[in-house]
Amino acid sequence: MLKKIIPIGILIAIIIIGAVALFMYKPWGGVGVPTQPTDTRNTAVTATATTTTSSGMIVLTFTYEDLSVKAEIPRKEVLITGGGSTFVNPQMQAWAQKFRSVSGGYVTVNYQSIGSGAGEAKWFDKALDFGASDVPISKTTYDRLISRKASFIQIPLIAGAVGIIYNIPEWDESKCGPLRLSGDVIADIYLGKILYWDDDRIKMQQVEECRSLLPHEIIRGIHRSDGSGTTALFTLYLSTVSSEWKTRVGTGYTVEWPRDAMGYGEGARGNEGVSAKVKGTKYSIGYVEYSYAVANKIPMAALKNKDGFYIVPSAEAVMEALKRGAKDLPPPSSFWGDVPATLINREGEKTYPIVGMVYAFIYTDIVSDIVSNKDLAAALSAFFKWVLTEGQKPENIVTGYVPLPKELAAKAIKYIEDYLKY
Amino acid sequence: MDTRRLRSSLGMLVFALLFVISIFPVFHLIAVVFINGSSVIASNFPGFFYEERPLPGTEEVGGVGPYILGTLILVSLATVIATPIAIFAAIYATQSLRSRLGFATSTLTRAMIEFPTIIVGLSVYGFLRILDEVLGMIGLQNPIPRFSALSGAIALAIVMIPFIYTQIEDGLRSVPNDLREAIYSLGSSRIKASIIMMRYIKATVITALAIGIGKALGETAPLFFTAFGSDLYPPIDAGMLFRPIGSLTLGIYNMALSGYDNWIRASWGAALILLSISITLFIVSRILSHRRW
Amino acid sequence: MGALRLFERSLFKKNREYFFLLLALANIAIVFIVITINLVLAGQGVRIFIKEGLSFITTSAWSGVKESYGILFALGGTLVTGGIAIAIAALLAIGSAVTIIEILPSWARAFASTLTDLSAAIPTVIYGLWGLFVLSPVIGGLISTPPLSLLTPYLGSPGSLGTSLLSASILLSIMIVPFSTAIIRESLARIPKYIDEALYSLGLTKFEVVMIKLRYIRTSILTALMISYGRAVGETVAVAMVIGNVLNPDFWRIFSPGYTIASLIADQYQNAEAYTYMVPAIFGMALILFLIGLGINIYVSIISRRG
Repeated sequence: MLKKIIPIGILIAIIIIGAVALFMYKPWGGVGVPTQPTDTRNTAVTATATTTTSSGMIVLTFTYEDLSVKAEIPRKEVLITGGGSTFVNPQMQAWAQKFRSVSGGYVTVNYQSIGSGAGEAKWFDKALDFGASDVPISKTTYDRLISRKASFIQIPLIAGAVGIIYNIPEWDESKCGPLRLSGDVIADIYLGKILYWDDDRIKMQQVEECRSLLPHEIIRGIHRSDGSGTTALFTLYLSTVSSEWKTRVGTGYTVEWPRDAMGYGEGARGNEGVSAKVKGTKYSIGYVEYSYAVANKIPMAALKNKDGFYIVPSAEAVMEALKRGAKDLPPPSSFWGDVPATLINREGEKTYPIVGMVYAFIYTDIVSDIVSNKDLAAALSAFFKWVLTEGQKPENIVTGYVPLPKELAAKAIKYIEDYLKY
Repeated sequence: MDTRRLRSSLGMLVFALLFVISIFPVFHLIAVVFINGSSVIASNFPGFFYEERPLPGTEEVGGVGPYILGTLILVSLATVIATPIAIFAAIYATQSLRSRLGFATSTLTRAMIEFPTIIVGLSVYGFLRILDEVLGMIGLQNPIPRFSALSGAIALAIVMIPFIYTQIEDGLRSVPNDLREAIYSLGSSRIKASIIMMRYIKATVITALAIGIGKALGETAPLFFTAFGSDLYPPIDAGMLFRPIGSLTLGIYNMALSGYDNWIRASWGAALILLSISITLFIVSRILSHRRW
Repeated sequence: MGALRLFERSLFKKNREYFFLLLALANIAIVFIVITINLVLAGQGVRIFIKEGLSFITTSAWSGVKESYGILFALGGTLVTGGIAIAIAALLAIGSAVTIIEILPSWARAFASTLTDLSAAIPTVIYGLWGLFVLSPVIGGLISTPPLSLLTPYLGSPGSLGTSLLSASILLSIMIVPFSTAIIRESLARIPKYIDEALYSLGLTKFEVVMIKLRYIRTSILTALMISYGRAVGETVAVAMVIGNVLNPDFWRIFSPGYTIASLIADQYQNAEAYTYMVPAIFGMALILFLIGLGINIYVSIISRRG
């Protein structure tokens, strides 16, 4: 039998190898045949277009407050593939859709929410043209990039926050306003050190006439079970305000929750899982992305900030933290691991304490990589310039996201102009 | 005698009850999907079938066109890859007696069902990455990009194969021995005998295909790192199979888990479309198989 | 069919056996796929076995921050939920198959069997949503009121919305019934008519005849259940929605929330690459899941060959 298989096997192998060789002789990859798209440029956008003859690119000007940037868009269909952060997905889809019409239909951005960690890793693998993450490039990846002598930049794109949600049927919001909590109390709840809602440390933070409303019921601590940037931001905040949290639990996409081990805590998948569980469980507490809570009109707790003010999350309160925190962005190719902490628990009368940004990672040496990538680099540069200018305007921001302050956007644009050459 | 009759009726009643219990959730689910989905589709008909998805947080209804296109391409490609492999392997495994290879496939496919499907996606990605590097070393370009319709179809095919294979293998094994002997006694070759038997279990083959395709239609996890997804129409040309592509399941997954009302509504519409495709598929398969049970 | 016959005649006149052996390529392809996947799993997973050793499967821990991983809780949860799901699914599937073949009038059979087959194709995420909002609150209510709540000291209590290992098991059983039903149904239908007639002529009641027929196809039932078991342990999204997702070292407490290997993978793969050992841990436990399945299937294959 073996004797019969071998010659047939060889024949088949030759056929397969031949087919594969033929296949590779005619590589299809990259962007397809350029077709002339219909001009669907959105006239409402303030961008103005003039054509330069030398490079055959469309030149557009984008503005944001008093910022004004020029960008070039190739006259060819270009597909940008990006992926990562789940948090930024709805906003990124809106940007992608609008930018396609801004670019006259030439540039399509395909962004998929595969998760921040995966976004970073797949970008590092060069399977993606850009990665987006709720945290800057991790130490491990950074070291590998350096040892590979890769040239790359990281830039902030948009901001968000984490809101604390709760379910206490006795709590009368119309009378008492949102529940007030401080960071150390939240940390101790999730550490399992505060068990009941009528604990003195929670009580004393509320207005006097509402203190008695807090029931003697065990607090159910709900948290994200899937690895997420929301958890990373939330645990970064807890580590900042509680040294015990920092040593016992730490900061990360997934952590081990001490309250779970006591039987009073539970995980849920995604923002919708956490909010559904908090909604369905009396005497529970949880945390969700600010944008999710806003889109679903879920009331959030007021958090005590560094200066002792109780702040309910809002776009202005987040903006306050951004203005204070991100003044000095490090050079784009240095290690940014400390940037997120600069936005957490900032001072000020109106500053919300749990604030974070979404970061994009781009290789700046793509042009030398493969032949047709000059267009890709131009398209990437134009897209991010648009995102950092026009993309930050209210009409292009999805409910619940917070635009970057102008200074920060200007700095990010400078990084793109200085490093992403084509 | 009476107690025996009573016991018989009671026993049959229990069987019927179990059937009702197992069927109720399906009815409930279909009803929920139909009620939620039909109003969405009706509110933007027929645009819902070909438009792109709406901007989040607006009142737009939009559509799921790119997802439908992607699902059709992915599933038909996967079926083309998986069906011959599964059928040929099942024939070989059942008709070559005491073959180690047959035993190995039969056991391995059953174990394959147990792979969480996300692992299939991760493995295909990992394999293609290694292929990239190996081919890169000898100066060739990997014909299958990691994020592409092709790699998505490969992942889906790997998910489908065991489902088609096990059904067909089971069908072939259940061919009555007298028939089997009769076929061989006519001096048929094994391949001819297999074809006759395949005709005999035609209904099983069609059911197997329907279950396999149904499975592929409903899969999300293996596509994350392979087909990758696409929410806007990609340029439609010959290079399409080599670029990322969307699917209904990826669309439903992403939109249902977002917080935006109009996306969640769109995901119900997409779910109804997906379900309708499955229902149509099953009805067609029933008609094709000409068997009434 | 005519075309098929022509195809046979033209192609298979000579060297028929060669063409038969060509089919083996398909088998080789399948073996190649499985081996490749496992090589990928092992290649990645080996680092976690080196780091954690045996404690990878004998302890319960999951922390990216501390880079410590032990999957006992998920392994136990998988076996417990899979076992319960199979037990329930066996009853439901046999009941459904018998009802479809033996009780329903012939016009309803096509409809009923289409419906069960169809339920195999409903996307699992929809099952998950239904399980979370419809099924698990009901089960949660049941197990937190007497008499079942008396078992709380031994079996634990459910999380919010009734999420528990038991809810996951029941949802799983509903999801896998169609697969088992399809196989059992077809085996039942394939029993030759004369056997029926012979049994009835002995004066047996319908129930007795059915029981004898079920015994006759027990290998098929076993196969059906094994396939379903595979489906159950591999299920990710739906389980992740109803199981409660809590690191629960006492995985035998089925009234309390827990984890399965598949749902743990579903929860963690998105950001696993941010940690050094989490990807190896994920691939390592997928490998373990596969080996368990392989063991069971080899056992079943041997049994069914004997039978």
